[in-house]
Amino acid sequence: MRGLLAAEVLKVTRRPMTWIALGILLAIMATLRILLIAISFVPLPAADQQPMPVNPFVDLVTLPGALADALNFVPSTGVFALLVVAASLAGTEFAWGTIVPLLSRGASRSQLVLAKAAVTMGLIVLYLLPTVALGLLLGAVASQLHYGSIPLEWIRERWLDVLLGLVRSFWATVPYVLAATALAILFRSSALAMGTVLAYVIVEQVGLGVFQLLRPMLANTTWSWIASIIDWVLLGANANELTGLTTRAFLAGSAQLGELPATEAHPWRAALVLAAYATVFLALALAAIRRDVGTRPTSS
Amino acid sequence: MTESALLRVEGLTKRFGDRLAVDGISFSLQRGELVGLLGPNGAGKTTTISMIAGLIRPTAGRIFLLGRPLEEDRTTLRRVGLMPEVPSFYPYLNARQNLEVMARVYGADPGEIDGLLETVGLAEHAGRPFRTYSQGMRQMLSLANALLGDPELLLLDEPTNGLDPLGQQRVHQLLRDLVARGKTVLLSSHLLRDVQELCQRVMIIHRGKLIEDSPIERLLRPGELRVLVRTVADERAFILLSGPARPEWISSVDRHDDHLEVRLSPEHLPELSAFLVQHGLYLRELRPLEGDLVTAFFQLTSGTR
Repeated sequence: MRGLLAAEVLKVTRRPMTWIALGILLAIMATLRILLIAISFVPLPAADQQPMPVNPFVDLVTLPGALADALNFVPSTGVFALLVVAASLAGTEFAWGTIVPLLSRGASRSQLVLAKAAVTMGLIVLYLLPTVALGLLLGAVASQLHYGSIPLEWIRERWLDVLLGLVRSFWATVPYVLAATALAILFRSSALAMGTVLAYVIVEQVGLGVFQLLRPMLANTTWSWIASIIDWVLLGANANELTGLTTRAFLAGSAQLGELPATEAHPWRAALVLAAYATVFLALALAAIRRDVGTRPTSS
Repeated sequence: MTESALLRVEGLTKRFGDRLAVDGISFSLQRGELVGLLGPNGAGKTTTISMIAGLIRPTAGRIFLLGRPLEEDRTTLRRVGLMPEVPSFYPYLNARQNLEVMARVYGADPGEIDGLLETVGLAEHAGRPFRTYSQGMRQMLSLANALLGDPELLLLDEPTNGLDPLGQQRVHQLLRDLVARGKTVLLSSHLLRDVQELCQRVMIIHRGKLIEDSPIERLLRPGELRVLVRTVADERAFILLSGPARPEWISSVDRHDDHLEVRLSPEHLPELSAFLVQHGLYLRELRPLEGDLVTAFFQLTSGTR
């Protein structure tokens, strides 16, 4: 297992795609944050056409509020890059035919899957830490610009929230990357796995947004069970439950929080549902790898 | 079956849906043997190799590696080096890095990589990404990968595919050296002359069945011997050997421009010269014609024999 893990680490760290995807993510994050910082200086008109006394974006871009977005960037936007990289890591073994030399000396197939899963989880951490660091840096810049100083007192009070935020973001992303890995092994194709999981994520994010609008209409009707099922079953609903806790932790009392759906948080339930999904996808990958392996690359 | 059998295959069968790819093949390889595996496209050679390498699960039959059944003990596969038909490596890694990845997976010593790259003639190009390699260089890297960890059995699927004559020569020499060191090689190839030049024994698979497994000598010199005959009077010799006085041990005689070709049982070769001399037909030349594997292969796989 140690050899397989070392080989997977070597492959992923030397693969240009790993770093290109991270670079793109950081660029997207920097662009979005800089735009938000710029908007935070623009006086926004309220409903009565008078400028708002406080720009609601200020809390979002300055510390510690900026940390909410920084911590949740990977499970929201970063997940797309991670899905592509995870699907590619598993799928190209079949496309390039490298699965043949990998398995030819009797390497354990289940250990290979576990090594790949471990490395993709390591990738989440690899993407999470720099994005949070960049968010922190840009939050510090925005704080300096808005307040003339960088507030640091929150570090002593909120270090546990930061830690929990990292764990929640990691956990909310794990089932998606495992799904990408499992489907790439099942389909023996990166493209098919990426397409399937990305399509699911997009449909789910749009669908969940629409559903949040419809939720009040379902409350106290005979159809309210639909909301309960969605809260329980959907991957995105449970991931949002976890990332929502981070948002609440860092934006409590801000103008932004007022716009968040006021669902009751069930962190343990959400964490367990995500764990169940992760287990199912891992089991799928372990079953899929057992099939016969042809000696010709699937791309040829 | 003696303990010296490095590989023993019993009733190996593989079915893909309705198609029977390999049909009850049995054979064994002794240590130090270099055995050719021949067969037309789709005959089942690669499927057989894949089953031995543990990539494909047999539908029926058993494989014994180093005396142990493969389905019970897959650790013996660590002693088997596979060179697949298509060299497959990570395109963004160079030769050394690719071998480093595989060495970690195989539990081989990465210290042997430089030596192997030298052996296959890739030392100069070891720092170039695999994607920039020519077909021949890819083949050589695949061979180096098969040799990682000094395996006892080598399964080589078309090892000289895409190699220039120098590369082919290098592979031939390498295989001879390996066999001299006691390694066992199963060589699948479409290049029959490669097999004829290198192998001591040949197995021919046709439509999933093992239709021949014999020493190469027997294939090249089957029951009937072809002999070139030139005498002082070929026309008279032809009439004699094909006429009513023809000895029963001569099966046929063909007339060519400057010689005759006589087919007879090998043990009667001395009698042929005596018979001709008795009739005043002194010999200018009499020599057995070499059989070739191409002829034998076509005879076997076309069902004419």
